[in-house]
Amino acid sequence: MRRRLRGKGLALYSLLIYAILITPIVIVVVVSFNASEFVSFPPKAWSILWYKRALLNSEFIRAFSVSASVAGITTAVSLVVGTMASLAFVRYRFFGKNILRSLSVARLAFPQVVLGLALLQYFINIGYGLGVKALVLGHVVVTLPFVVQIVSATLYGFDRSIEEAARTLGAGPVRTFLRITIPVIRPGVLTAGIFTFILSFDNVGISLFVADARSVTIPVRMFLYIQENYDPSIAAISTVLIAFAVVLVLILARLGTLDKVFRGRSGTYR
Amino acid sequence: MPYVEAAGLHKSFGAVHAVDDVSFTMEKGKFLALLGPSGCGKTTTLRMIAGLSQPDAGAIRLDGRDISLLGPEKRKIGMVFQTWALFPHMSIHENIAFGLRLQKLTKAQIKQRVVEALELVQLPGLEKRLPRQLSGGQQQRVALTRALATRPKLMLFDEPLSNLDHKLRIEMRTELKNLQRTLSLTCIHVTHDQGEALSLGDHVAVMSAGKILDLREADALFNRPRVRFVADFLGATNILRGHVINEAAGDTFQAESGIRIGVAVPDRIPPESIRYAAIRPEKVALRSTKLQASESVNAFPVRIAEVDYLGTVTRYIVDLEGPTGTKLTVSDSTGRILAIGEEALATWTREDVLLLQEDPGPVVEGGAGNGSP
Repeated sequence: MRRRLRGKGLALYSLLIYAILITPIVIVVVVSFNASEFVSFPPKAWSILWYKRALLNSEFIRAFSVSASVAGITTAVSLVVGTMASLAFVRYRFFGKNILRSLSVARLAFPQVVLGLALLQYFINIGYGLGVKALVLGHVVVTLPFVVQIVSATLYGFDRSIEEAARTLGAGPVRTFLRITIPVIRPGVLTAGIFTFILSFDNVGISLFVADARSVTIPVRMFLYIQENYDPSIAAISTVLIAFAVVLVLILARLGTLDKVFRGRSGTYR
Repeated sequence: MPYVEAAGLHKSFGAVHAVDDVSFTMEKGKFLALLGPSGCGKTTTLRMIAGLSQPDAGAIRLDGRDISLLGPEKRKIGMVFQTWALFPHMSIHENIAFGLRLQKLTKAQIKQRVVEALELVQLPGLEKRLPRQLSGGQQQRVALTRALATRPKLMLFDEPLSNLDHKLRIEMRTELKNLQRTLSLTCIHVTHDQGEALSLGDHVAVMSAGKILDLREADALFNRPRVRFVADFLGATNILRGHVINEAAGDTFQAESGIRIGVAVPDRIPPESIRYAAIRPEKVALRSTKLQASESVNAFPVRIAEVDYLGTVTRYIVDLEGPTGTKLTVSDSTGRILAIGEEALATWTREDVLLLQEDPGPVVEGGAGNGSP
């Protein structure tokens, strides 16, 4: 009996946690269909007016496209650099490896706002400038540790004798890397890629500092918008972004590598 | 000219001399088993032959050509790995076709060769499956036939049977041996299992601490081991240290522990080089103490110290009566079970005593028999 009761208690507790997590999102979605001039809940009348407004707002459109291209380039750069770094960390021994590896993780504990400010100073001082290229570099700094963690987890479970088998079957090192190594770690790399894209797309801390007038990203644009307006178009934009994120997470779930990544170094050490 | 030749191979990993001056030759169509405990250098030797590891010194020749400096992809050597190493993202067809595509065969030829390859290992029709959908035994066969399909000049096996259960391992062993005979393959097989080495190998090389201690025909190595480590590794675990003396009654081995046993020194061994006498546990008979009348040269009263019933055989550890403190391991297959503390008479013939020389190089520690001090 007691077991059963406890089971119910646990179910209720879980439900509560999920409710707390999901309710704000539901409210945002509901508010976005509100016909009112102001953000209010619950809505008295329904409309898709704010979607029309939001999607016709050229500033939002431009910010969205800036965010998409920054996230795209950030993802590409992070994946190439991160995969190479993971290969070095997992497969080779070199001077300073443990320090480098600790630093790459320690970055996660560093406040982004501080980093953003530091990057702003740095980019201006070295004459690198601000804008898209600064956004990309800043975002890569944020996303790289994730890529290294995820791709390394995949590489730890990698049986290197399959590469050796490919060699004895007549494939050179490059062909072996392209035809065997890359395809086998692809799920991990894709997972890291989607994570990177979401992290970059969502980023405020860095973007706030290193964006310039022509390269305002969507989260920053929303941030600026609600300081002057409080109409539901912000909820409409949010709902679009939520839908976008849900699609990406569903793709992640389909790849089936999330478990492996969060369980960490699964598989056998070699 | 030998078909395969390894000449003076050396390989160190940091301070560890993993392979220390390994040389051997092989004729075409023969099967060589490299046998030894883990860490003896057998796998490193195999990997150097495959080109997966670079020797610090030495040369490898195959079919009249020095292949020491070639990458593994240019050596025309097939290899089957301990983990089988099938490509997990490719179907069985693609796995087998992988090496064939690199040989620039046409699509039709490849298809034909894949079908033949699967028939060879009695797995026709599995082309479209993925490796993970196959059983361990099936994966192992695919790994074998994938390597064979490229028609390599030499086949290497890195303990491919060690991940199979006992029954399947024996089956695969027979199948592998038949395949090797039918196709006249030249094979080098690494294992730590003496049964596997003796059953598969035309020749067996026993390795320890990076060196080949002995390399001969399987039966010669088993029946007439020369050095202590080889005898011990091939199951002659009762080893006594001492020397041979000549007595009127015949050759006698005087052990350092004090006991004397009758031996027959063959002409091929110089008596003064003998340092050890070894007796296989299964060559020792445990008889009733009533037969005390010295019917055999070597008959020692013993007391049973430990009994380990294993089904087909019962293993005993017995204490020799007297002050020598000698213990013997006895493997008995008569089915009669003696109890701890019971007395018996341990007997064996002169011819059953193997006379051994010191291991070459530094004395190898570990795995010593019960009798050695």
